[in-house]
Amino acid sequence: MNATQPNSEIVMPRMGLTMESGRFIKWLKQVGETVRSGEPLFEIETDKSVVEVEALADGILSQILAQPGETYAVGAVLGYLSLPGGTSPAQAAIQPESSTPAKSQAQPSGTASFATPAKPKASPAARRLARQLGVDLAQVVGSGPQGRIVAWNVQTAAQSLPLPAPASTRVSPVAQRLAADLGVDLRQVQGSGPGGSITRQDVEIAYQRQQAKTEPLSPPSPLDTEGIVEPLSPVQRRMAERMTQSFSNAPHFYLQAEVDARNLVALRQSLLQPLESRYGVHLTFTDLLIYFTARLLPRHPLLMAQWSEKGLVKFTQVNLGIAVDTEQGLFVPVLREADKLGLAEISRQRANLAERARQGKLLPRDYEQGVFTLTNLGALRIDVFQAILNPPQAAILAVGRIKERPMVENQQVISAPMFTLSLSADHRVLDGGKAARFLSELVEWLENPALSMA
Amino acid sequence: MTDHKTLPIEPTLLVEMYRRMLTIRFFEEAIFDVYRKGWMPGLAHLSDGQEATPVGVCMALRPDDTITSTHRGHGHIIAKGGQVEPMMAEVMGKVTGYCRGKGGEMHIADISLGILGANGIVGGGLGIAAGSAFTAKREGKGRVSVAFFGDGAVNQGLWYETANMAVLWKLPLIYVCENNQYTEFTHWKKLTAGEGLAARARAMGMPGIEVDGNDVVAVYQAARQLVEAARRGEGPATLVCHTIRYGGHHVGDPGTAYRTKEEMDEWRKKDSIQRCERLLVESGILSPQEIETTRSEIEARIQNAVQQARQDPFPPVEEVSEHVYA
Amino acid sequence: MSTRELTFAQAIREALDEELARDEKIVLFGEDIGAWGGVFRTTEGLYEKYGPERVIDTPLSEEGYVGMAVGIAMTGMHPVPEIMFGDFITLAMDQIVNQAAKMRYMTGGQVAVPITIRATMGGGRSSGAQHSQSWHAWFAHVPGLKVVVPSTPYDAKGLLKSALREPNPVLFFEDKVMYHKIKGPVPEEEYLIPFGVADIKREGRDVTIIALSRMVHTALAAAEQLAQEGISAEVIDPRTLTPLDEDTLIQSVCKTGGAVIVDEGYQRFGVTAELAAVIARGAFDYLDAPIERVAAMDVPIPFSPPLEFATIPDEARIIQAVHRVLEGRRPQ
Repeated sequence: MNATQPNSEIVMPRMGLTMESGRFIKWLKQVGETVRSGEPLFEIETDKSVVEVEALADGILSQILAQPGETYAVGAVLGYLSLPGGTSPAQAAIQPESSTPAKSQAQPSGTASFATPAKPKASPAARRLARQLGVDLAQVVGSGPQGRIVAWNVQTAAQSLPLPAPASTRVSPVAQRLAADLGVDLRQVQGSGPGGSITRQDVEIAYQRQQAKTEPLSPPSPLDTEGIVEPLSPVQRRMAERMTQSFSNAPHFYLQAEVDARNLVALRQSLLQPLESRYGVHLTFTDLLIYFTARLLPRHPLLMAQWSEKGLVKFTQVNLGIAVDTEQGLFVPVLREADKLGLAEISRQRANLAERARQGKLLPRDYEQGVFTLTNLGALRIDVFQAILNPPQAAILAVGRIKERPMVENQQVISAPMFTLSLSADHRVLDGGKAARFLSELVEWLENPALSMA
Repeated sequence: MTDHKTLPIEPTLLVEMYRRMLTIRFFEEAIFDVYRKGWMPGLAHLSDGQEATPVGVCMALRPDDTITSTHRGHGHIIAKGGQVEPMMAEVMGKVTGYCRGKGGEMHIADISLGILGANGIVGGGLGIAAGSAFTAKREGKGRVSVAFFGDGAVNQGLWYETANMAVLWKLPLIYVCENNQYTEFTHWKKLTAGEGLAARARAMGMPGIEVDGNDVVAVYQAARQLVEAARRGEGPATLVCHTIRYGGHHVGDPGTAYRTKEEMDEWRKKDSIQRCERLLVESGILSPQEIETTRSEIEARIQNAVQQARQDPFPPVEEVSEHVYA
Repeated sequence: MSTRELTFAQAIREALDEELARDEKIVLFGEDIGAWGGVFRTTEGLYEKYGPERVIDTPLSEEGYVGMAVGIAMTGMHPVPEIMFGDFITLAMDQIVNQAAKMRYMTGGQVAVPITIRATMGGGRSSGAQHSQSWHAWFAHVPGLKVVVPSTPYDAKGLLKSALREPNPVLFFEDKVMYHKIKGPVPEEEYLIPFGVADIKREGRDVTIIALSRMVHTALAAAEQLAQEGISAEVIDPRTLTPLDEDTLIQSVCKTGGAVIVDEGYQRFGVTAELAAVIARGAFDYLDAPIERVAAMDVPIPFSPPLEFATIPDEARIIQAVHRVLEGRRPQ
């Protein structure tokens, strides 16, 4: 496929929750005809009726594959629309949530073999429901024997799913499957479909690029003193743009607070064994931080709001982003409705997401719609740091490492485990007072966990 | 020289017996040829040399009497009135065969002629023959059932079970044992205790008669006796016919590894067709020219059957799952 | 429609009686079926009623009289040979498998073989390894045969009458324990039950239990117990193995998401294996748990009662299997 004359896939759309295939009736345009976005392009028959399906972009109907009377699965390619002009860099497909640029190489090794995606254990019924309800099985916890995902787990997961992502981040189902099979990180993929959506060809190209990256881009010249220019990947470029935009547009301010971690340490100690044996999870400090932060946020809803020209956008669903450091870079997967999760569940989901992030297997659903971010560099020996806001969020909490430090209590100098919290906030949304009230209450809870029950 | 007026048998009947024996002989020779040329699949079990027994027995039967046959059954089928054309087609697996190609060489049947099937299981037809006798008795029309089998089946349990019931219930069942001396590759005397089947039949309570299986007239007379008795309701009987097969157990086995040339030469001197021919000529029933013409005519018919069968089509694959159930 | 309570044996006897009266071509064969009335009393009184021409005592010659029955069927009558203990059917295997099953096919459709072979099945009476087996699976594996396995007096009568009008070889398996222990309503009026139609003996939502013959009653008892735990089990009786009503089985499992298959034949390569394969294929996308099989243990059936009962499927084992199928599948 010629990158400068992209073709957009015309696919069988899903017109209903349970639709799995549709019967193609006829094309309403001929090959070579110009098509405007929104114009009826073809007719299909679903269970319910005959439906006109409109074009999703301006273009020319360049190739038709679907035959009248044949039945095609949802997502099947029915034909191609050739789009006018070349690639538009502004139409990058996905909004990655990470706050630092990702490395350009998605795969750790440059070998030609691709890893088979590890399929979660799920019954055939669960898989069918997951397909129908659009649930990602990797997000579902199974209650069946040996952790097998069963039907009701999927149903439960489906009920708590947020609404589908807006069109600008669309990935065609075919592309999603192919990306999973080839082990392609969709955030590395430039979308060329309508509205910047990612098509199968985009994934193929990204895959080729990944493979090609094993070779050096240009041999270093011994006389080179000017440094070697490595062109930015689309994601790098996007990251740079967004961070610049965030940093320059959102007036950041920073609040810092030290936390006496004695009770927190004791709490963790007391829960470590029981959680391990009863739920099979390893409790970390991050888990505890997530727990308390998530439960505190609904009391300080402005921390979850976002700035827009039209006004403050308020959110109530506590989707907490957790920064995960991996070889490929910093990812920020999201724990949905974290305030409703038990500690064991938080730990399990966090570990699951972190592992998939390390394997490069996060999908858009995994990092969309976060409203607050927690980033912990304590494991990397950082005592304190100020994080840049994760646009479009208005607040981000940076956590440093727990270390025994001298402190004064009852006019005595004692040694106690302590760590520093650093809250960065968007001054267009929050003022010092509001941010401070959140942070100080959080510190209170961390120092005296039982207070969170009040 | 025997005048045909003093023959113990109707001349026309003798001519018919001669024709049928010739048909069997030429048919078997044709099959040998067909098999060796690769024009038929599977195995071929030939009965040339044994012609007198089936012909002698079947000429004593009515059209509605039934027979069951063996894996070496071409002779029985032709003797009972089977036609060489659908037989040859069946042997080649063609749709024009008696069984539409589904039975093959070992399982030819024509129910309308009372041929209840050749059988691939040694002794496999014994139960069916007994059943036919049971029904015959129920019908009350004097119908008779004949079971053909070889010296091998003599030691199958089914013979004794059915013989016991046949005697017990006085079924019109005639057991005809074609003892062609060899059970596959072993002489029968090495496998059968005591004095043989005729003696065992008598021990079971039914007449057991032995006869020269290569003398078609002798076979006919003996069979006639037993069949008529059965028709009268006197119960079952056993006829043991001593004969020989010229070929091996099946085509591919020349039969020489376990039989001596001397032995075979002795048997050929008693060839059933030659004896019949001599009788016909000496009695003035047929002249040598008529003999010649008869032979050529039957030979030609069989050759035509071969050519026709080769051209006939195989059954369509769609038929594979037909005829499983009624 | 008025009904009366009949035992399993009485229902079978009634079917034989009615068909003997209807069709003079039907003749019964078997050991001690005539003057004695049958060791299980299934032919009681028939000898007196129809005489020695229609109800025939045979010598101990299973191969002989079954073989004879094949010939009788091929020449226009409808014989009904009985195998007193299903285990003895091995003596007649050639006549059933190589002759009866194949005659129509091998003759290219020239002949039909209307023979109904009645054989018993089932253990649980300390009859030992050679008198307790259930061989219906073997014959379901032979093309050309039909296999019927009724579980109630109602089913037995309707299916046997159909078998006695069927122009093909039928193996009709009767469980010995059920003969006098199972009673049920049987209509006074004539009725037939066609082959290839399964019967939903109990409707349910949570799991499908498929069972045959006496195991149907064991499964129903298990379903009662499961209901106490709040588990709603659907119990389906295929009634005939050949032809098999696959659709009813598959539809049920699509509804419930889980299946437990129960049979008194041995487990390996038995009835439960075939039914499991049929369901795995037909209901694949609706299975929420692996299919469970509860069948006789793969050991010769022991004589001593505690040992024997350890090998035969019972309520407890069915309930355990249901629990495995439902593990972790319901919201707590």
